[in-house]
Amino acid sequence: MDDSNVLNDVRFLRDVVSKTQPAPNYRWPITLAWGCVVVIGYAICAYLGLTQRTTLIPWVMPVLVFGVGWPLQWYLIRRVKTRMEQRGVRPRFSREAGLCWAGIVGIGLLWTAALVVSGLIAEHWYLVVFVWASLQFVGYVMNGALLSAEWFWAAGVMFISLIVAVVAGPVMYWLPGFWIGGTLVLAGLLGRRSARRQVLPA
Amino acid sequence: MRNLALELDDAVLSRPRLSILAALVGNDAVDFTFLQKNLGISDGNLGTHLRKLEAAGYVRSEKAFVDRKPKTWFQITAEGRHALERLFRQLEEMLVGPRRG
Repeated sequence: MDDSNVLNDVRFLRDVVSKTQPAPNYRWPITLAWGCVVVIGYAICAYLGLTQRTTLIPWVMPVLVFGVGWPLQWYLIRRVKTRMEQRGVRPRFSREAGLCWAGIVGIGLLWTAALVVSGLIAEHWYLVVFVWASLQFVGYVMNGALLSAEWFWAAGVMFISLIVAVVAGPVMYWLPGFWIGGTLVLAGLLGRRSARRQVLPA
Repeated sequence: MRNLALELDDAVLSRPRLSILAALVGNDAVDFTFLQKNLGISDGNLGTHLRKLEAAGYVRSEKAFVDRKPKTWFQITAEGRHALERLFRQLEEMLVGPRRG
């Protein structure tokens, strides 16, 4: 076996791997959908807060998450799966990323419940925003390490918004909350771009 | 002196079979047509190589319907993964010597 044969084999193997591995962000429609749901929810909460209808605020996110987000996710998962299967690929689910996000959502819900039960949320509404924004920052870094580098952009934006909020004080406390959904939209759009660059052959 | 080349697994050490395993290793499963299109191997050849890999226990197949169309899905098994890892370790050993630690 001479060197040129070995190199040809390595090149062939490299081409096979690049053609057959799905784009890391092929689930971008789900990320984008969640981003839109959260941004809309946050905008509704902000509007209700500005118009002094605060009693409705605690219901906005649960209604949107369970009434819109989950059904939409169920539909999009099926659609993405069917499209991939039609192309002849069943992509691998990252168990590590799934467990990481289950942990983040669990801890986030616990903190939110603690803030509601203790009554702190009435005086310091921004705490719930800071908790979720910080947890999402951790999740984005994990996604960046486990799935694809685009998630580091979302992590960077979230980190900067947290720093700006802390440095600028109460006047900017809304910012990380806006970016909870905004970074999901950003990650979804970046994922769409990377998935389109690496289109699987039909 | 130990001849490392003789220890290499023949079931994996062929360009088509190595590329089949490389295509399978990053996915949960892929279908026959996908493999055929992306590896550029003829139907008959691909079938033969897949049968050899199945016989070695490195690949398993499953028939299912997607949009009422029959598809044969292929998955790499745990043994297949180990065989690939072993091959790369052996090649590394041949080229740069045994790993330390």
